[in-house]
Amino acid sequence: MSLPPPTAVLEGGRKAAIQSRRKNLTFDKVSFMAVFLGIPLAIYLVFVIWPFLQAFVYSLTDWSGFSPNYKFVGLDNYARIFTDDQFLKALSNNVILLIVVPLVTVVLSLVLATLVTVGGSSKGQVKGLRNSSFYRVVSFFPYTIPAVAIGIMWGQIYDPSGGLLNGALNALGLNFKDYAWLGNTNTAMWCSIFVIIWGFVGFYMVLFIAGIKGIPAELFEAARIDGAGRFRTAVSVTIPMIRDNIQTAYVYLGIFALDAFVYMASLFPNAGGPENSTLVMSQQLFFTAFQRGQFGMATAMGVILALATLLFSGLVFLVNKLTGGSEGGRL
Amino acid sequence: MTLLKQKTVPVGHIEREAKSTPGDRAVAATSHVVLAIWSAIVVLPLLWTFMSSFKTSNEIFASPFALPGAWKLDNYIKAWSEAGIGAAFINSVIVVGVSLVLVMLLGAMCAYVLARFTFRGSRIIYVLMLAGLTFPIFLAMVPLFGVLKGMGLLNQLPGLIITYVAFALPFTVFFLFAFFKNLPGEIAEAAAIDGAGEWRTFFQIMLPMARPGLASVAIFNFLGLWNQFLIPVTINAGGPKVLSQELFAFAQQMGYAVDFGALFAAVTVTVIPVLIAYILFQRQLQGSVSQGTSR
Amino acid sequence: MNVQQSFARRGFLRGALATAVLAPMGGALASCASGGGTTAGPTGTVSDTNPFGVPDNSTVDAVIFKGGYGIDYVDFAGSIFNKNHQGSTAKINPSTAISTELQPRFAGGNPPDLVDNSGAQSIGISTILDQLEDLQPVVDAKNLEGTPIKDTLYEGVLAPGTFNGKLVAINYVLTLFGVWYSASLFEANGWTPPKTWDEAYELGEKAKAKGKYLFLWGKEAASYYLELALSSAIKEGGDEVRVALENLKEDSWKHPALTKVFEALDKHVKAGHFKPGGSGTAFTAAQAQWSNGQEALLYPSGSWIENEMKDQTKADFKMTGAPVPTPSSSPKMPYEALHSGGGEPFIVPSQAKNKAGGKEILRIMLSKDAAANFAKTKLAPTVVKDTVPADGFGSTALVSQTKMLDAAGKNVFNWQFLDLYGMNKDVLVVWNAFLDGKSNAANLANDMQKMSDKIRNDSSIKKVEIK
Repeated sequence: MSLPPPTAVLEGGRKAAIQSRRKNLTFDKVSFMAVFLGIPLAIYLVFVIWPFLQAFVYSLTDWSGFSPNYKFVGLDNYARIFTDDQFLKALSNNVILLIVVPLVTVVLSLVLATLVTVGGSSKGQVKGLRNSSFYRVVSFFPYTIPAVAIGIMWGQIYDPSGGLLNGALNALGLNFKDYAWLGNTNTAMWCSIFVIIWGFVGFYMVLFIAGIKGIPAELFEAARIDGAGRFRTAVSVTIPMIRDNIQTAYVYLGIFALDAFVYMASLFPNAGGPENSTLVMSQQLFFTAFQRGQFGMATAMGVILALATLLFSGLVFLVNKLTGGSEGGRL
Repeated sequence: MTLLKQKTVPVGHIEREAKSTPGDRAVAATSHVVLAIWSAIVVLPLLWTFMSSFKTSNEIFASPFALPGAWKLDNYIKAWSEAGIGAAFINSVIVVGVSLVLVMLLGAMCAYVLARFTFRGSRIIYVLMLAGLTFPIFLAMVPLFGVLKGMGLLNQLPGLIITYVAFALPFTVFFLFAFFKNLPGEIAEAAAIDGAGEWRTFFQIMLPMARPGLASVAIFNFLGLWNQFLIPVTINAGGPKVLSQELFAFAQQMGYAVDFGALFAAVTVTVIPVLIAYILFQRQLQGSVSQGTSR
Repeated sequence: MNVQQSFARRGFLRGALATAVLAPMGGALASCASGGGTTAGPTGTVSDTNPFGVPDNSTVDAVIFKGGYGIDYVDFAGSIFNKNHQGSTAKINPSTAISTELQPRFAGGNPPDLVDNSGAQSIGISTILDQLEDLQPVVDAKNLEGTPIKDTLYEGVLAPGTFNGKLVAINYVLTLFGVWYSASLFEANGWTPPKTWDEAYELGEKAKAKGKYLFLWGKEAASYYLELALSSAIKEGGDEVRVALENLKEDSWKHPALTKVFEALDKHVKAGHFKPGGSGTAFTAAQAQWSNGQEALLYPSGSWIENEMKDQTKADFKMTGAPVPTPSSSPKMPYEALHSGGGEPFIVPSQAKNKAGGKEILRIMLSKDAAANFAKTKLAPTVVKDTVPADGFGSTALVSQTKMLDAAGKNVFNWQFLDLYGMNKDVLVVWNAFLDGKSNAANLANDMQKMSDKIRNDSSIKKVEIK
């Protein structure tokens, strides 16, 4: 490879810096660490972790959620979850989301971010596309809309009789009259996935643009001088340099895909879509908690959800490490 | 290390006016087409929502795509008066504003330490942060209610603020971690050699360098908190209402009353301040490619 | 900060160590520490004008679901309360998310004094049954005019709020179910609402000839057709159909009456009498296609439909209700028999601080002035009789409701199991598929039976025996 190996250079420098700092525990350093870690952690532990830990205890009970009484039932709730065919169905739907949503969103937003930042002239300094800020600003718009509103809006767009989609398809001469996009098992999931991606791409596009702008210009210059084309530059400079951002995005999207509550609940109010084809775990959890009054069971589902998410994150970190990510995963 | 020296000289500066090659133009044209298509997919539904907010429900159901008969503000007046937006808007600005400043500061501090120092337990803290993102919030609302009640912060804006900060913290740390990790270490190293302490290094060097990342995470946090519904509806039900509480309640009621025009108006009212905030802030994300390191 | 922390920790340890029933952590602790759970509260002097002994200078904390009916009708009662009880005030708070907002307050032993438990996010009633006050004293009490309230109510309106023999919820709004149609459209075409499913089929064919459908539905409201089917089958087969379903009996969905109704509906589906695409249409949009676009003739719904669609109903539509058709022309219950339920269930939690105040507001609401005000402003009857004048405030739907109720007399019925066991979500899935033509009568019965069986066999779900 004729390109300078960027990560290696930076890693070396960073490790050296860290090494040298570790040696002397000055007052400056101790006070710094205490304040910088102590305050955020204290708030976090009291208002997030502690309530979650209490909630975890509920998962071992038969608590209804409303009454002041409950009994401990050990791991019964966990055992029962895996005999609940609806929960298992929801789990498999979440797995589909988990595979598709992060992949498509990350790839699409990476492509768009690359077009915006390095789509300009191939000569001289790396330049963004002319007037590209318009695209960046516009793409972000969906993220500003509350998910509930997005659900209502797209519900109308997919409407069989008066919706934008069927209207457009019919205008093109295709006969889609009365086709219920959200009412058929073979389209409901994919239509929902599209809505989710629509809502998220702008977010990650902006994030990746920020990441790409943080890359020292010299790396691009060097690649140029070495005669690397645009595609090559993107693959060998951009992606490795914003690797941690991509990993973060992937994990966060995965967390979202394992939840997906607001989108699914607003696209399919009160139900799990046609033949439960869009039912997700968090919906099942919500129904169990509030309609069935089995809060203990619902909390156990929440714990499973959290474990699944952590497992997924661990997997992403592992993959990043195996493919040569900087400093490997943090897990 | 040689990279560092070049930084002070903007290399490409003179070539800015370089002529485009035909290949460039083709790539630029393709890029424009791809981006324009995506923009259209994004914008059309939004324009449709905006247009619908001026229509009566009758007009919406009669033909979802016809222009409104008259561009009347009735729906907005209804949303404004019935949803009590005035006071709620001010409450939201206070709560979200203060929470945002706090969470960005605390989050940046925490992420910085986790990303740039290795010490015993750092991984555990990181995983703990990650774990906070994975558990459904509403399962924690009952215990959280208890915690706030015990502190006397229930139904009060400070209680809401500290809860917002706590729940936005894992997200903030998680994203800023990646940004701080990607920053070149040489500059901090150079600062240390110059005799700058940890505090100065952070506030004067590292924080400004992470500006694009901070700006994007701040925007995301702003949106998340501005639209946060579950937390205020549970722990602030009897307190001074914030905008999302009023608007979601209004939107939901309009759903029951089948008043779609007013519903879309309520959505537009929620989105507009956020869009303005974004358009103002997004400039922070602009700049030349090298801006990230030349502060 | 330290004090509560140690409180919370103590709660946690108790929770972790104890094995039997005990107080929950966090929120509950504050109330345990300060009072121990039983909240009799101060009571005032009981008298004819104050039957529940509302204490002087007290506050009533009411949380009212703010949906289609708003909350102004409770405000109305609240202002009467303030006038009748000098020094006391009623605080009427709106909520659109009852369960999320009130869960910590129930769990913490600090619930409001009066709750209208309605909406998509209402609390499943079976979860809080034993935390609710018996409301029998309210209906036994005299209203503001001096008549015992129970003598002023419509037939059967207390049944939906009675569980295990205890009246825990008073449904304030009288809801009756039927098929709704445009009297003007029917008149213009010489149509009459069908009394049997055969007549319904003929009507469907006539509608088809006119380029219209007989029925349509929306994805969140596919369950309205379950309501239609159950009403029809109960009228056909008598009360035994209902009792078997209520108690989740084996093969209760295979009763011949139900089979006939399912088959009749299936015939409509296969004949194209349903407007296609309902499983992907929002119910509000679908309903507007009926009330505004007149694309379909009949819509099964509760009597809230007029108020719900008041801005989206074609001028001169003349919305009118009729009883649902039955499979045979000689059903066990008369054709006029009605499914009459209730809307807006009001509950008074036993742990509330001012239970008397909550009951007193209910008593005011059930008195003449407040009930008449509701009927007039919402164009819907309350459970209190004789509040709707003969002209129905100019509403054809309201007039037809009064007529239907009078014709039904004592032949009103109601069921609770669907709400009681939170079956709506699963019902929607099955019924959307059925109305979409992806299932058939036999599969429908099987799917519904499976749902009942699953609940019956789940020992963790508390069953309520219903007579």
